[in-house]
Amino acid sequence: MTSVELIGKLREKFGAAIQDVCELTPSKVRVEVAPASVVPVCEALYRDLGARFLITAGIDSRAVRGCFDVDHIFSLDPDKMFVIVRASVPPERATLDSITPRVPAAFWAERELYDVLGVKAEGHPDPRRLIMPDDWPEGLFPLRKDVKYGDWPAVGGENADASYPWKPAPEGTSTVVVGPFFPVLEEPAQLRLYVDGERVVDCDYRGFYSHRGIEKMGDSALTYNEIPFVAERICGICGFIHSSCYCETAEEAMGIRAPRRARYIRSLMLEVERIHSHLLWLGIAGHIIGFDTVLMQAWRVREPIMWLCEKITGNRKTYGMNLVGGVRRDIPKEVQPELLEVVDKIEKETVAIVNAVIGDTVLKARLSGVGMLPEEKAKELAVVGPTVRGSNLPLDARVDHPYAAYDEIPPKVITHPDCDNWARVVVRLEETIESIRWIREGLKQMPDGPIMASDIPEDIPPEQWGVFVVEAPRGEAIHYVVTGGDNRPARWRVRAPTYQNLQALPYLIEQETIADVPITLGSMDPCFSCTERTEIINVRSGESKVLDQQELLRLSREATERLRGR
Amino acid sequence: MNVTAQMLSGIPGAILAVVVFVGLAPLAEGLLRKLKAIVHSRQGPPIIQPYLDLAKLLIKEDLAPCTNWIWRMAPALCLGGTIVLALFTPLGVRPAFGFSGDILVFIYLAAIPSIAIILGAFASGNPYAYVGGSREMMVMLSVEPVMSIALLVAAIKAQSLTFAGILERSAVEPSISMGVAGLAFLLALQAQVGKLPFDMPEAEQEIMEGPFIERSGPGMALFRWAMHARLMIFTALLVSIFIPWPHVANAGLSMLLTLAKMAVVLALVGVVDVVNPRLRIDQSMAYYARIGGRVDLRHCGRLRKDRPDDHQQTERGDYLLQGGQGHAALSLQTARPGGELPRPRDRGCREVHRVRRVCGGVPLPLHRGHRSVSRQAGPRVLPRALHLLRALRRGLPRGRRHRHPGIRDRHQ
Repeated sequence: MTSVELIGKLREKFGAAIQDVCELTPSKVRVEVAPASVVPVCEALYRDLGARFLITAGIDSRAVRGCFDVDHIFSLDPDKMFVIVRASVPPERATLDSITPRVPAAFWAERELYDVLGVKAEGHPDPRRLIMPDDWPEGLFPLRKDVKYGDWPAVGGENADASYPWKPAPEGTSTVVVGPFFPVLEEPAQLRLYVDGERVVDCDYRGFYSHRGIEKMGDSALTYNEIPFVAERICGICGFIHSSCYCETAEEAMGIRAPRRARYIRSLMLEVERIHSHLLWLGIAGHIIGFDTVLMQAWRVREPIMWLCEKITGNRKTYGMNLVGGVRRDIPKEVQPELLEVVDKIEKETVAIVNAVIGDTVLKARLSGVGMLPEEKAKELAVVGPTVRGSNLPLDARVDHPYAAYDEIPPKVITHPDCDNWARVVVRLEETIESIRWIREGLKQMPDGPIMASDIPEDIPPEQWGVFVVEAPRGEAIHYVVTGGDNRPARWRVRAPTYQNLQALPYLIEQETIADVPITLGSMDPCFSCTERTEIINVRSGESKVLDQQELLRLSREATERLRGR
Repeated sequence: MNVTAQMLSGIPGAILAVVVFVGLAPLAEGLLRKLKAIVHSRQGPPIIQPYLDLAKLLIKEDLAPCTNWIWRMAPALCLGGTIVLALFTPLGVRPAFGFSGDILVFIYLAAIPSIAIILGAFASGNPYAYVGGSREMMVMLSVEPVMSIALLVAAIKAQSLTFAGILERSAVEPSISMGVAGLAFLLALQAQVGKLPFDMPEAEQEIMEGPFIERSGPGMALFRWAMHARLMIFTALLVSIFIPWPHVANAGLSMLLTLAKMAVVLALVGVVDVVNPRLRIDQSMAYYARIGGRVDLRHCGRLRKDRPDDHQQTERGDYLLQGGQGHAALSLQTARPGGELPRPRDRGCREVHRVRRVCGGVPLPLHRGHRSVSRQAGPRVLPRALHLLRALRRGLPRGRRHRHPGIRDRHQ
């Protein structure tokens, strides 16, 4: 199906409800529909045309067109196409019919829409707060343009003692609270398990405890070329994915394309990141089920990969490589043989550890048949990455929507038919090997040439847009950019893969035992947020002291010295 | 021949037993940690680290969530029970305190530390502690029958209910039934001492050390110490009863030899611990139910006559006891199938209810794919351990027998 056919079908079915069509490229279409027809149009896309819901972006366009724009973004994977359904809502009555009853994957997206922009989804089954803190004042919506960046309400305002309205525990169950601090949950989120004995009957989730408001920063405090560096800090593990995705999106909105060599470098780093992320995850997954040997060995094998990162970019993590239009550092020709040599070593060790894990029957016994996510359910919840590929669905943004250099060297999409925790483990492990293969290919085939586009426009007109997905280790990261004035976007929407995957958690752990909850959560490699500082409070005196980066560095260096001296 | 030589009689013997089983236990733990570190490619903590940990905990403040007397008593009861148990434990020679029937006293006493842990857990009121306590109970109920049967096989073979008698006979008369019982005891040891893949009562990553979640300071230290000592006691028991060769007349030499053999067994326990993930509680229960079922008492010829229907392991246990010394059933009675079940009032009770069904050989209606899964998990724990150890060794990639076909193809 081409975009023309798609638009024809929609016009035929909905007639005048389709108000306008904007075709950015043949694979990216934005359809403006009357607010009343949003639900049927989205349902037709989802049910009849097999589109997959990605995310909702709400935009405050009051200054430009006097309305709030709500963009539901869909992907038609077989046709390699993105479809955005836009509805404009008048500011005086900021409500829109909820699509969640028809498109279940929009569950969180519509909760967030109200939280940050104040557009209410009418008929949403669970309209509780998702992102903003419990004591955030009612009626203050941070992504509206009249709220200035940094202009946050004082702590302890009118809602100071508000608490989250948890789901009541079902009859005959008791509550086990997991988090916000839990040994295997490195990041702050709270899960309430309603259990009967050891069996989980139901659960409720509250996250976003350290929401940092990066989207707001992007559209009010940063410029186009500053955003990649902040985007890279969205995640401490797959940061490069976010900066690459943002750059590809912004390049598209500006109508430019990074040179081939730059795209190869991006792909190369994306694959390196996948390997070290998967090995990191393997270690953590092993730790979760008490298998610390896997943790230690996986992380030992991971070390040469971090060396590779440092060799190419100058940093083990958070490389600062991407800019809109290309990358900042080239890979010198003379290090290429050395890189290939290290890649061989990494492959040898990774294959050994992967074989040891895949051949382990006890591990398999522990993981098989647990955390089942059948194909239909995976489709309905629109989960992404190894989580969906473990349910036997070959969804991979690198193949479905090729970016960077994947159009020239397509990777093999790895799936597994078991739909359980074991399947997700196997998919990740095999992907690691596949990524190593890609790196070798990529290093060999990398073309010469510039690494930065020369045709970057001086002035970027407002109201341009771009949308891109990048396959992160955990699944697709989605970036959507709408250009604005002031050398910065009017809206920069980011959806990290865990956002979608976590919504499947209640389904995954229902009727499992408490013992299987951590590994089921771990099997989708959740990544909530990362915090950058530590506060130490002396409970006796009440004194508090914040450890900043310098102090933490000093402390960890001292600890290393102590260990060496022993 | 002086195989029945006593450690030392009376108070000096008791002191020696406490020094060996309780005093040296943290050292054994430290060695195990070192072993673990080697497999992990780590440097590891110093061997005396467990002593330092205990010392640190002992001088720290005790943050108690409640003032319940059961809560306060539990750590002392746990370590105290373990110390008393040590006095009845043979170390290649007769235990410090031995008398007719001491083997039965031992089996009873062996339950006290676990019971203290369970009571302390339930008294704390923490939901994780509840889960941990009920898991501890399930492990206890599934492992104790196996250990008791193994010990009683030894008792029947020796026609004696004292450790002294068993030590005297087992050394001179190796037999198949003793071999089977010893193997069962070895497999049960892993769970009895709370090592992977059977450490689910604590399961730091699942239930945050379960029964001990609310513990801190001295209370924690006593529990830890008792757990370390438990490792020594049951290993010593295994070595003394089931691996008595070569037996030497000199009591001191015999003790040293036993300690050396214990080091080998502990290393085995440590290796299994380090190369296995944690199983689920239902998998481990099914595992021990099977082991219990395999200790076939038909090897004990004199019990063959007049046996009631025996395809349920606990029945065998009971019968064995009656046949042996006309004694009433021990803790096995708790796990006896059939009969009136108590109404489940709380979680703990409900778990007991489930345990009964497992131990009675009735399939457990638990999990999707549960039965086939646990069947896989079971007896291969040891061979798998060795394979994995080989595969993960630093030099890597050797031993790829279980290699995944897809990956081999791509690797070439």
